[in-house]
Amino acid sequence: MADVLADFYDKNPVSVVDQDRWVHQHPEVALQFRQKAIYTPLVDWTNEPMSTGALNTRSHEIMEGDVDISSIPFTQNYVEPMSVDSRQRNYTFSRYGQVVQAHKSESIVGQFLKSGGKDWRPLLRGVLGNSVVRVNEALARNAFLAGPKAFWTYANDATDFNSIGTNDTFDPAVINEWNLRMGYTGSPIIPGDVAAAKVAIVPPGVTYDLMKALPAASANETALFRDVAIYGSQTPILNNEIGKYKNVRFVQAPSDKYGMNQAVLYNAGLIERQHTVTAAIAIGDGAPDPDTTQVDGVYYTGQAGATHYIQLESFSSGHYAVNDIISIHTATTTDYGVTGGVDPLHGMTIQRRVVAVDATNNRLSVDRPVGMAYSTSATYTSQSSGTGAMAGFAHVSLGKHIGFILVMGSRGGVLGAVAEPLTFHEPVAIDQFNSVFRFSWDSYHGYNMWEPNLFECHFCAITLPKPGGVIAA
Amino acid sequence: MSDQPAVETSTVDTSEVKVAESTASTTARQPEDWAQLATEYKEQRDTYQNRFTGLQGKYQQELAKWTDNNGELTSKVKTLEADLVKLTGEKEGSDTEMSTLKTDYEKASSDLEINQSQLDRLKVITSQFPDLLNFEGKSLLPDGSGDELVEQLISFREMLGEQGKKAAVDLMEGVTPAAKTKEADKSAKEYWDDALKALSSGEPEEHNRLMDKYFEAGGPGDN
Repeated sequence: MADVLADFYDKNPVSVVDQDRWVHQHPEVALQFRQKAIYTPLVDWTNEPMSTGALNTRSHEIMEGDVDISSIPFTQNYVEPMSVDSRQRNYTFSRYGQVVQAHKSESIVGQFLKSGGKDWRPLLRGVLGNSVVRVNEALARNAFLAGPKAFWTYANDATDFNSIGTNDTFDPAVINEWNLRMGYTGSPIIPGDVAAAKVAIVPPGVTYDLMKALPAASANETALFRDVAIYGSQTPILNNEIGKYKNVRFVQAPSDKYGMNQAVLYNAGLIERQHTVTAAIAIGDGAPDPDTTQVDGVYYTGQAGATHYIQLESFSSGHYAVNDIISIHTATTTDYGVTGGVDPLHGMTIQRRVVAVDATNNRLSVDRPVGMAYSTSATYTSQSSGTGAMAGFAHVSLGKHIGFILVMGSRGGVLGAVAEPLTFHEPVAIDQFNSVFRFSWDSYHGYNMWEPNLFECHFCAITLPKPGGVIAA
Repeated sequence: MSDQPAVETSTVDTSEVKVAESTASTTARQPEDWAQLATEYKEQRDTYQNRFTGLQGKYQQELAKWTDNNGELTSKVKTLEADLVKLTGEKEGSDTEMSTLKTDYEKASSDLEINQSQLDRLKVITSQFPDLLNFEGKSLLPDGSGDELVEQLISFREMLGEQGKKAAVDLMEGVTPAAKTKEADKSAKEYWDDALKALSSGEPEEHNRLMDKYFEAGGPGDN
């Protein structure tokens, strides 16, 4: 019999494929999803496109008619049949993939080569497996954010990202509304959970604000919060689960080792500073010179030959400070009510922590090198620009960070469809010294909005950590 | 406690009876003496009334004294009753403790006997049958003690020797015992199937172990 939690975490684009079609890399990827995924297991998966081959599938659902409760005359022999109707939903898929590279001196490559190129597990437990999980985690999170905004809710009286103010931190009072809005119309989220609890994925900052809010609530309300240690022996516990409050189980999305968190939409709120990047950013640029400066007093980061800053248009002293978390992005959007707002779903939007500010030369250094190239020149109009529209390569924005809480009432909100199983491609050394290997994968699958009534996206101002303190909401 | 007040009351009563008899004898006087008699009687009445009144006080004093004594005695009785209950409880507790200690003692004595018996048994095995010590460790040797144990162990040793000889003969005759099934003998495909079952059962460590075996057995090249 399958383990309950294994059953929960086996909702991913690998496990949905029949094991008869698995290859030797797939079990380890399934394990990586079990250990690291937060959003992907909340998606329901189908492998139907594998048998139909159709790019677009229209799924039909029968709708039963209304029942007539009038009595029937004793002598009547013919009555109108109960009506029947239907509704349809579409789902589709795309192609996703990535190439990661590693040097033969790395132990994971060494183990791979030593096994005769058969045992991919060391690679899949490292950068390659992380690549698969991170891509799907981002896609799964964004799939929930792609739902209709009419279902979105905001802390207190905010109505969009722009109106989320300093005081609009997470308020536990909204939990009553979650329980009201999301009835038990679908399958329980956690298999074997007798209480059919709802699940809320929260960033650490919301946990911080929740813990601060509880003592301020009435004594009875405070007593309703249960730490996971109290009920952990009675029911299956999810990875990173922290506690339960009014039948909502809170799972804290883990931050990566650089402090970035999937449940935070960095700088997506009201823009405070926004300047144009005036020099192209190459891969590897941005971090301080490892020959002269350590990040956090410890790390010699990046390569000495790279550019050790991001060049901005003119800005003033005090506009940016060390430990600010900035977004580097090429796209802006007003979709969330913010003029010149950061688009958190755009593929070229990344975040970095500022470690040095040079207001004289208008340069910022960040905690780690930029991992993608911003080298295409375009016209950018940044909100804090003194000159308005100008040629540049990206925006750098500092705005209000938005906490994203995904609340699941039951399963079935998003449907994942797999058309071709995840495929890994045999690596070959790509340099003249047979030292650098590129490992690649691709997959044909998609995330589709399926039932928006079953979950809710809730947004609030959020407190973030920084070295030696917090970044206030 | 004293019974003195009762004696005093008896004396007073006797005196009053004597006075009454004397008064009755004087009623036989002549009629002319009626006035005098009336006066005498009145005096006697007053005398008796005074005595009665005085005795009432004495009576009240005695009554109060008895009442006080009664209360004191009742209190003492209650105290004694409480002492009795307490002592009875303590006695029962002591009895229970005694019973427990007795049981513990009997158990310790029994354990000692068993340990002594086991020690004697081990002495016999280590000194006379050291080759059977491993069997004792797995509780495979027959029970018993003393000479009976020695006889049984000799018999056991002989039986083992015969089995060993038979195995050697069988080997020479080409009859070999069935070999144990080894995991290493499984094919990569079988390890693969087992590894997937372990994965589905939520046993990642077992899955990893079986995947190690899978690659040792040839991995995907053997599928």
